[in-house]
Amino acid sequence: MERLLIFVETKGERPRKVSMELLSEGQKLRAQGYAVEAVVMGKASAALKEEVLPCVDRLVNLTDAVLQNYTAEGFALALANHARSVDPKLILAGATQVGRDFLPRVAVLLGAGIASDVTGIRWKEEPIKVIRPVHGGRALSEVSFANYPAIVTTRPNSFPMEPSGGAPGEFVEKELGISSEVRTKVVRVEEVTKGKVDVTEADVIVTGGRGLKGPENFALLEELATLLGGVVGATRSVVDAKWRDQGDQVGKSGKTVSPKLYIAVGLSGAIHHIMGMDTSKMIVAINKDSNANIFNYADYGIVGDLFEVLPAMTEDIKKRLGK
Amino acid sequence: MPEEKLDAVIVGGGLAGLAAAYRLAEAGKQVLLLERGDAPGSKNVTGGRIYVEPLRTFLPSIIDEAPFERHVVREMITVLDEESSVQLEYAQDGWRKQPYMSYTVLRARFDQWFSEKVMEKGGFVIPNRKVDDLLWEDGRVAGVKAGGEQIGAHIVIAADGALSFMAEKAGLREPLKPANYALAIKEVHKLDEKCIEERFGLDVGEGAANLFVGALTKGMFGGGFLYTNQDTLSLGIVVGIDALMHKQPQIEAYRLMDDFKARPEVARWIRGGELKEYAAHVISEAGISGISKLYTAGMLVAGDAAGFALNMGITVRGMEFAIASGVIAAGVAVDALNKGDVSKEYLAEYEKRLRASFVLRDMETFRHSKEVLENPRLFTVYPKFLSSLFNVLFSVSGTPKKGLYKSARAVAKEYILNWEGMKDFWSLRKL
Amino acid sequence: MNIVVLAKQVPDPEAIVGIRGDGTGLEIEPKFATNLFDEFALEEALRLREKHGGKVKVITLGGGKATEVLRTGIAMGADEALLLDDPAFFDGDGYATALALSRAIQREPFDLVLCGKQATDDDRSEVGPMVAQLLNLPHVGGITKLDIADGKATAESPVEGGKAVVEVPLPAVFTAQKGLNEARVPLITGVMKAMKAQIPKVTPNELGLSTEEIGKAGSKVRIEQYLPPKKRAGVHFIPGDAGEAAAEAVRILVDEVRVI
Ligand SMILES: Cc1cc2nc3c(=O)[nH]c(=O)nc-3n(C[C@H](O)[C@H](O)[C@H](O)COP(=O)(O)OP(=O)(O)OC[C@H]3O[C@@H](n4cnc5c(N)ncnc54)[C@H](O)[C@@H]3O)c2cc1C
Ligand SMILES: Cc1cc2nc3c(=O)[nH]c(=O)nc-3n(C[C@H](O)[C@H](O)[C@H](O)COP(=O)(O)OP(=O)(O)OC[C@H]3O[C@@H](n4cnc5c(N)ncnc54)[C@H](O)[C@@H]3O)c2cc1C
Ligand SMILES: Nc1ncnc2c1ncn2[C@@H]1O[C@H](COP(=O)(O)O)[C@@H](O)[C@H]1O
Repeated sequence: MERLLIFVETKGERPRKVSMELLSEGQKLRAQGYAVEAVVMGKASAALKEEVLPCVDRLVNLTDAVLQNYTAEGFALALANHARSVDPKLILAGATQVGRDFLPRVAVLLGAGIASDVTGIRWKEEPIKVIRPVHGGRALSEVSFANYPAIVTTRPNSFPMEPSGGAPGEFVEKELGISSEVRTKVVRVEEVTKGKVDVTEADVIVTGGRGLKGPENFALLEELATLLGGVVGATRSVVDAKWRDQGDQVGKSGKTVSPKLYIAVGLSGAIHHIMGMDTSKMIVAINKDSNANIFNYADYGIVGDLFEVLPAMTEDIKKRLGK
Repeated sequence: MPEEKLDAVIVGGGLAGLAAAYRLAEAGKQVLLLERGDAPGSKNVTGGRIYVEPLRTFLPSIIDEAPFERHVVREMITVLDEESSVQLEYAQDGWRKQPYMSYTVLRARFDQWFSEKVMEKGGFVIPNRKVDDLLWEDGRVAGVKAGGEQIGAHIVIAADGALSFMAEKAGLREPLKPANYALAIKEVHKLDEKCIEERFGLDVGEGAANLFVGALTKGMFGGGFLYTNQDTLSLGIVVGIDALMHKQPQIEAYRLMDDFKARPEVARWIRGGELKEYAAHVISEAGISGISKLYTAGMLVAGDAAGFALNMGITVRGMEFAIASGVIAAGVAVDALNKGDVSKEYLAEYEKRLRASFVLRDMETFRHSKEVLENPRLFTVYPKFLSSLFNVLFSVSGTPKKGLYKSARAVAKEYILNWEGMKDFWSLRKL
Repeated sequence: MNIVVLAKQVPDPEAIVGIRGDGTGLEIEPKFATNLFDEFALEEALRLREKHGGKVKVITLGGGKATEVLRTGIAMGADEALLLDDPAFFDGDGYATALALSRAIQREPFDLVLCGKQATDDDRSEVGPMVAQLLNLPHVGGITKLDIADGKATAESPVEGGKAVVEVPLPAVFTAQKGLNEARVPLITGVMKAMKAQIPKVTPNELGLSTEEIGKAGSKVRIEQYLPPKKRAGVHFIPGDAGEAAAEAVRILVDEVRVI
């Protein structure tokens, strides 16, 4: 039987959304005869087990002390070590900051091919083919692997998350004894905004550009985003002006996002920005300039003053939601 | 003041600057060209046609390998009235044979090629560097300032285009006057090579030029142009800035361009094309009266920076002047460097050589063209006359037609056989 | 301190990218730039050298105009450059590229390798961590701050909602991202020096590599074909004044698209 190994990344006590997307994918594949295993580093919480176990045949928790905090070295050693004992066909992980940082090391350790930031997998073909955007999304490349195991990291929001209940798999704790081999020392992790959803994983993003005029006006975006269950993104100009955090920047030198809904407000749609959001499922743009480039990439456009349109939208949504 | 000096620094990587750099590098001089755009040619706007014959003597070794677009075998003039037009077409078998007389060009490609030629000869071409000021030493120009750096040079050639600040900074010319400039808007539309050839009735590699005059400039001095490139069309309009500023009611230049493109006479050529570039630029239209002083100690001015351009309403000639003046300036610079004399007196040689060349001769010949061509009647009354005339010729309505001669005379009387018309005709002798 | 910087030439972000008719390759407008993130890496290397002494070497793997990246590096102030331009090196996946680069790095003793977080052409973000693993060194990815003292490096990298501070012994590998620094604009005199510089090259053989191990032949990932991205239908402008347009937009989002 062919095996899949899914790396479950955690956020607080819970699995990350992108990990759940992969587990959901795995669950479908179980029905097609794959054995699906998950692996989690550090200490797996009860909540995590509850979410993950129904999706897999087995969840292995690697418990070495060095895995309490993320280090590329430690995670790579641990995952490669464990994978050797599983012998999977594919290793899957989210293309998050962490996933993209340490899986290339795993690839070297296992002599495996890796495809990063994948947005689609053709499971039915042999060899399996995966799709990944290149050149900032201006083309897609379809790739396959020379041999297995192979590694795939997937872009958040690219796979549907529809976990269905299943018989819980087995839970195993395992210590690898790799701590002494890790040279990287985590001095401290400072969390400024705890628990906030990262732009890369948000379903809805309301991004503001220089048209917002000043940091204080982002409150308008925050309000709309909150109503829609989303987060606020920013253009580079806005980040460079220190109106928003670097972590919120969408684009070539920031983050790549694919939410269900992307609302672009008061931003011109420079190609560098487009490169980070073009794979959004639906794009709505609000700009007072009908020639703004963003309209070339939007599904819906409103030509108007954001300071009139945004509050009106917010009011209207509140009404509909009965707030 | 920097210790070491280069032989020459050239400000501006247009045709004048590149030609000068090429000649200097070829002569073994250490030459640095600074261009503020991303690459030579990236900021340069040209309608599109270059005549090669005048250049054979100036760039003998390389002009024939230049990346031209198409050789022009068909000239068209379209006179536009508000809702009608008359088009003339002229073709000549001779134009189909080598050596070709004129080619269409795209500056981005052409200037890039030229810049590579300069570097092959050992010249330095550095883009993304804007020259901010001149360096002076004992009352003479001795280099340039760019982005906080000082670059010393024995001689500076200002080739920084129509709005040359270098010439102004060196006190060689007055601050700019709007009356001396025209504004141009140009677009490049991508179209399949085959499609261009079929649409314009051309063979492979052949090109057409179409000039437009009349209602498109709403009575203002200027015109429109369309050139066929390999797989693009260059399309644009030129209008006097002064006329534009005083136009009542006010109209924005881009509106003129939009209206122009919407005309069926234009729309048919560009149909299905994809807009690739949009640019606006100024052209000196003062003719010889707009020429600056051409040199001072340690510095020469070439190309548009010196005012070497002829705007004849519907055609603009500047590229040949730019290249020729660049080469002449470099020639003088080489001699001056060899002699170790960059004084004003020695550099007067530059003007002498220009006078002996087609550059100042042609400028002199067309000395009065602007006065003549600025006549608003050329852009309103005459187009109306022509189109009314053809209307009379070709229209058939329910009422009986008058004799052709009678009708034509009536039209002529209305528009041109009058005192104003006589004056206009008389003024043509100046051309 | 000997610092190696890996820098790659990529198409200018504004270059037009098209797909060849049969899908076997891309047609990219020939406009180039140094990969944005590599400029940060280079800048950081120069600042470290200015502070601690030593030398900065830039290495690139690529043909054609790729030397421009090295010349940019020298113009900015790098001391040395090395070019891997044998065609056997080309078209490799992350692994094959990292293998060749790691061998090139090893030719001389070094304390630090700096590279970009990601090359903006293939968007792989693999080479830095792979080079580290191939050299069996620790790495810190996506750094925004780097301090060196006592043979150790302290690096900061953003993590979700905050930042992590980690310490690694040298030698080590770091991948740079935006926020690390502002890359300097080279001096004109620097550019002139760079244009004259002789760029040394190295062959696979000199790196002890067979042509089977590198480039396309040595890749573990194969590109089957290129496909166009999903095309949008084109924008639908919502008419009306601000209030009307907003109401209609909300109606579309709620009733038709059901995103809410
Ligand atoms: C190498 C490189 C990398 C880059 N990486 C990124 C990146 O990762 N992400 C990124 O975003 N950018 C990036 N950029 C920058 C990018 O090129 C643009 O400069 C930037 O995206 C512009 O930001 P903006 O749209 O907020 O501002 P602007 O371009 O100034 O646009 C402001 C817009 O707001 C509109 N507006 C103003 N007032 C109103 C109003 N009252 N109502 C409605 N609309 C209004 C205007 O019409 C205009 O379209 C990068 C650039 C480079 C060179
Ligand atoms: C719409 C239009 C149509 C035309 N059609 C034709 C035609 O069909 N045929 C023809 O022969 N001519 C035509 N011309 C005229 C022709 O384009 C010019 O005469 C010619 O380009 C002049 O070349 P140049 O090198 O003097 O100036 P430019 O080509 O303008 O070059 C000047 C260069 O200097 C650079 N520069 C300026 N300031 C600085 C600075 N401070 N530091 C560094 N660099 C600087 C600029 O970026 C530019 O690259 C046309 C012009 C226009 C605008
Ligand atoms: N061909 C190359 N030459 C030099 N450095 C490279 C090359 N490819 C990748 N790199 C380095 O590795 C980083 C990440 O690249 P990539 O993994 O391709 O996204 C880049 O930012 C460069 O610093």
